[in-house]
Amino acid sequence: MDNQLDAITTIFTEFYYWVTIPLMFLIHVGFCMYEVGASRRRNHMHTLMKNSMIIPLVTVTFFFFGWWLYWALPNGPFITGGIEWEAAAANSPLSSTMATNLDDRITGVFWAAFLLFSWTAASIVSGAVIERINSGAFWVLAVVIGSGAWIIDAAWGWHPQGWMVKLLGYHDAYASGVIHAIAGGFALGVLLVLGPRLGKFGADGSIRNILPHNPWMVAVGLFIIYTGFWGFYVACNIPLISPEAIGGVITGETWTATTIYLTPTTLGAITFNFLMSLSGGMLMAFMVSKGDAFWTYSGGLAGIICASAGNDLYHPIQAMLVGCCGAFIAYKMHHWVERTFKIDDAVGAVAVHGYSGFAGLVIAGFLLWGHPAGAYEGFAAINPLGQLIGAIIMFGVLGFLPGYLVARALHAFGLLRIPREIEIMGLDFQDMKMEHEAAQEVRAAKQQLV
Amino acid sequence: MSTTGVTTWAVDLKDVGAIYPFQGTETLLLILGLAVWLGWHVWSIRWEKAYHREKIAKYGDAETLRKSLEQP
Repeated sequence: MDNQLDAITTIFTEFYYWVTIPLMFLIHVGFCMYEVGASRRRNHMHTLMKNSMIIPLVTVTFFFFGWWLYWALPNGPFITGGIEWEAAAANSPLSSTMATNLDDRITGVFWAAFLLFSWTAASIVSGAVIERINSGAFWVLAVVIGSGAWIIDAAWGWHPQGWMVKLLGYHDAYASGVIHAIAGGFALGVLLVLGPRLGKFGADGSIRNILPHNPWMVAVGLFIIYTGFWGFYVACNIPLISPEAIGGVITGETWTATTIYLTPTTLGAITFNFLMSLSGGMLMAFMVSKGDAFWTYSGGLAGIICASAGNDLYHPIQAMLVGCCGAFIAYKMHHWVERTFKIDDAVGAVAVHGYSGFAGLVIAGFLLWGHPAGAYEGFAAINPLGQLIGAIIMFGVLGFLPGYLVARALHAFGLLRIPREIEIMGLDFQDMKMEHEAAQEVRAAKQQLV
Repeated sequence: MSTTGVTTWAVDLKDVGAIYPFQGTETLLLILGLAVWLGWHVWSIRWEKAYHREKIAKYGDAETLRKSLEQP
């Protein structure tokens, strides 16, 4: 920071990312409220702790190796080159820039913004598997997706030099695929091995609706996720950068905000499109679910998620219509998969994040066809085939497959699912019993006083 | 060809304006958006009417009404 402009730009950028972090913290608060509200009374505390422990586990592992993976692997499995050792070294836990350093004010806040995306990826999976997964097994899965699978997909498809961006023209500005489709696919892989909650399906295949114990808490949780989602969107942008700093093909001296790909956009664009896609999603979800509160709020999320791939560029009405598609697809697909394959996704996570994220990528391929995917020479343009292949990689290859395989391994060691007796009694049975006994004891003591 | 009109970023950004796809279709988009909005109102009014009618047919007998008054 050797001149005033440089200093203001650096401090502004540092503060910009820093603000997104407490905002994104709200996503985790919302997910916890939503999950606890959706679980039954006898499973509350375990459900809460299962999700809450994502925070320390993914944080430390993301510091140890997750962040390094992002900088090391943009070339994929030796597709456009080898491991980027030099770039990765500056982001390893051994680097002096990964600590207090007056020469580098950005790495810390940028790392934290990515970390909060990691929590979100793991938290999406958490909701789908409530009330029957072993917490220990879930925490292993959380690290696999939070500090492994998702950050590899980010290196491939959410990095200015990612091989998918270069070769496929993959475009996913606000993470329809790199966070949502992968987490949805991962959750589906785990659910396939884990199986449904006891009592969810009748012997004849009929479906029983296990209602949330506290719909109001679920609704407020989803509202809080909406709020945190603002931080998520803002953190996906570079707020202010010069063509010279981008180092690509842009000429002139006009500074701009950019996407993670360093392609120009504006904060105004994502503000329009976030709100319009949320609205499209809520309108459609209310309609298709006939006024169901849970699905209306979830549909708002599905709307944003579906439009996210192209929300840096869409016209607001396009974002609204894409949002309508996302909510419709999520609702219909959730019920079709539940009916057909007897998959018990307790909160609709696979549908809201996975199917609508997948669809959003494909839709962006058509709507943004021909737009340059990168700000550098020789990059492919956005196209439907590249987006479809990208969606398959996100949902299937880096989402479903690792989820399924790690869940199979945990299942093989008898670690995945809680014992049947515990599931029937409830995970909080002992705590509730103790609470009841303590209350009785206090009541008896009070009775002796009157 | 590009739906946004941008085929390369080898340009000076001071010369670039709108970059959303299918520019020129704003009127059509507005008509579509208005149709969704107005259609939603028509649907919601009809749906709510049918919803209440169905509930009354199912639960609207005098005995159920009397009992519902006893609940908080």
